[in-house]
Amino acid sequence: MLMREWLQKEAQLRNDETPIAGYPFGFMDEGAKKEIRRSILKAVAIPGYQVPYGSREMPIARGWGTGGLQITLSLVKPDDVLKVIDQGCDGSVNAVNIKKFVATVAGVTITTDTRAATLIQTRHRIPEERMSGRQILVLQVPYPEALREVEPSEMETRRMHAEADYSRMWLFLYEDIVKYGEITISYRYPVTVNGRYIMDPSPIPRWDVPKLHMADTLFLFGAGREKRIYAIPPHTTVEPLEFEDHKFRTENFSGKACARCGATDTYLDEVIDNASGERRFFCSDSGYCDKRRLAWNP
Amino acid sequence: MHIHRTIRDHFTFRVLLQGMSHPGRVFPLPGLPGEGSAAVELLGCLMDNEVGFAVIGDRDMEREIARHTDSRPVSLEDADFIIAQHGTTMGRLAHFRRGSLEYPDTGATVLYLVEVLSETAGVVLSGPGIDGTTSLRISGLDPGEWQLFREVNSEFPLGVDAIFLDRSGNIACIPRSSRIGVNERWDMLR
Amino acid sequence: MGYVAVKGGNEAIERACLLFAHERTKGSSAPLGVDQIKEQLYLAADRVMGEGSLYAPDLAALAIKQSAGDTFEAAFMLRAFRATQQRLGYSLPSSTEKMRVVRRISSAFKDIPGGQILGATSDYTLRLLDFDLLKDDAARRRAFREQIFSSLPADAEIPETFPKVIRILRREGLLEETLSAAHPEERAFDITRQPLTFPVSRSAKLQALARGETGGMLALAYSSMRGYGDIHPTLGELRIGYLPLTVPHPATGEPYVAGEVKVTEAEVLARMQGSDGMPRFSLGYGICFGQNEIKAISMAILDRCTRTEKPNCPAEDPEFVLYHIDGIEAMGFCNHWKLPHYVDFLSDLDRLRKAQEMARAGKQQERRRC
Repeated sequence: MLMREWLQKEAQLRNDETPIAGYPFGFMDEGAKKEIRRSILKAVAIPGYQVPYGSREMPIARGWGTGGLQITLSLVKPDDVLKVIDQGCDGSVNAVNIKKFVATVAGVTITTDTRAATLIQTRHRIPEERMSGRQILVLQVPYPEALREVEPSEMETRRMHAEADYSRMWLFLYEDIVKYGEITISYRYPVTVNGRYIMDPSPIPRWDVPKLHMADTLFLFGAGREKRIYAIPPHTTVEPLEFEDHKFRTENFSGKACARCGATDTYLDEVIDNASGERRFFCSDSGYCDKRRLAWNP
Repeated sequence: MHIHRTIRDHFTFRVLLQGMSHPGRVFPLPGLPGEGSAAVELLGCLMDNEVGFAVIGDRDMEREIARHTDSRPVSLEDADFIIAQHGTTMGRLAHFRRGSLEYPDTGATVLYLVEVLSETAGVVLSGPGIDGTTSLRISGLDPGEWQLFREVNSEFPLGVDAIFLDRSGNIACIPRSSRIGVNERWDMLR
Repeated sequence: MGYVAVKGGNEAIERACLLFAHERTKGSSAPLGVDQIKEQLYLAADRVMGEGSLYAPDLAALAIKQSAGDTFEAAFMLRAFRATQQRLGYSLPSSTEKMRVVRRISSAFKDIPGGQILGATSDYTLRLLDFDLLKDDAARRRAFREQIFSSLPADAEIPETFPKVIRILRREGLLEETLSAAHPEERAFDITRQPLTFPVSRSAKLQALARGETGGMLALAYSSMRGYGDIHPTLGELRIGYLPLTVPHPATGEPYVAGEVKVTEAEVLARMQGSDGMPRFSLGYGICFGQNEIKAISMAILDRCTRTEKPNCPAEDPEFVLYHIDGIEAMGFCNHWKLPHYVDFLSDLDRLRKAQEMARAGKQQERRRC
């Protein structure tokens, strides 16, 4: 939508009942947005480093994506085309709630098509289709601190990042290998960004980790409850922690295909059929799956 | 109108974010009708009474920024934002906050007001946000700033991040993560 | 064919919200008035205001009604509402000595200047269910009121304000110096604007505690009282009353009393600390909106605990306490486990299968070697 049109629509709404009366464009007050914008710029300037910020309360609960939402609301434009997914799915609980809210307070158009979106907010997945330099992916983060696994104290993890003292993280991975023969971390696989900071990519599966490396798009990470923002700019190195003889591996879907669209190269959800107890697989990225099905059956 | 300003800030910030995540590339600001100069419109989407700023330039600019953003004029060493009104920090870039190892984000942001920005032969940049290398030419920037900038950002993650705004309302950014090289046109800048 | 519905989430959510509202309204009882909640469930409203960090009795009552009595949800609604309100200015610091007291006691002394004013409290009630309340009507209430007021002595002179007990102790050099004098801050921290970074400033710590969730704070304070901590607290003074809200006048800048705010304040005296070589009592300070004595006392204890030189237990660790007492954050995260986690879980399954494979392979190798 052009800004001109949005302004006209706004003028109309002011005469009618606004759905959320009295709230400004983008819901949050300007002070909140400005702080978030300042934090985002610093996060982009220091890839992989967690910028602390004030983090306002949102009408959805902490733990349900307030960090991602605050980022989205601080940078959304009325002419944006917004896609929101949760576990890859456009129709999921969390995604629907967030989508409705942003559309109400920012007037954006909603889409399920990754290619058509200018702004995508996501929980725990990166879309299968490669995103461009004109798009932004905002990820919801429950645990921003990759080192929390080995150290509960924030003061101490801040020191570890400051001094790039990551020996305990490497030790943790080594102990995993000794115990299980493999690194057992599944989602939240730790990565080194720009050769400097160890970062938690949020609970995306291993499958999605390679998408962060030398991408064309900007990734913004928002942890509302923990009050941290971090970023990976495009064309930035993102390397999963691994050993020479125990390399990083994604999940294994060999021999499996999506029962809806037949894809053999996407992250698949495993579903157990109620009646037969049979195992079936479906693309986690529902928008992509829909597209493929349409392509076959236009 | 209050509502226009809010939306304008959203459009402005998107361009700024594009600039900071693609260092060295030149982007036009939205150029929406506003209340003040382009510099003030740009800073207005970021600054408020929570931050301090300093101007290396004239008093009028300082007053305009204070009035428009509600931010506090402070010393150069304490400032979150420094505006180099005439394309130079007069050698004082080294005094700006570079942050600490625990909190490198507290390093300052400097806005240089310059003449012309163009993606042609100039300084060569590489690093996060840049596909290989990119070239940025800035006329109206004091050539001495490049060396200072390199020094101030030589101990990543400490450092200062730069935004450039030219007379036509274009911006470019160079965050502290960028590596600034030289090419054979270096002499032209001197 | 069992097939996961990709669409339909929208409708299900809308229906769930409607059903939630319906549960509350489907009965034949008369709709609750917000005024009824405000007046007759005033302690719930006080608690919600404190945890929501917004002094707005009518809104607190509305939130309690809307959430069907879930105080976590109600406090959350107030917080969310607060976040949308424009900040007009800042009040001037107010001394609680100016409090218009309605209840004021001290356990440290048998009697105190001004007297022990018990006020309205359930402390001395017998916890026996009063079945008379099942027949609560206007006539009964009128009779009750007449009964109380008829047996009162003639108007006694009660001062509006009372001196602080700790002043007495300070005057005699028995209590440590005020902490704000020892650690002056130029500007009070604002935890709604800046994230907590450790070590925290005093104003940041007190703000976080003042808006903490009552149960969480009680649990931690209780652990200290029972013996995990070492502070041996005595309640120096507990006071409840109305504090004037003084703001700079928008036009003249002169201090101007805009209204009053009901608060509960607790000052707890604890074991010795002596930063200047002279042993003195140390002080724990607690304050919150409304009448919420458990929270104020717990806050005072936690304030003191977290200043222990060598933290020995969770209640003494400032990071542990301050990160875990915010009700809105805690309940949000607890509830978030109900969100779909199937992608994460599948990733876990993949790892587990792999690990089992390796364990089996390892066992086979072992067997072959034997």
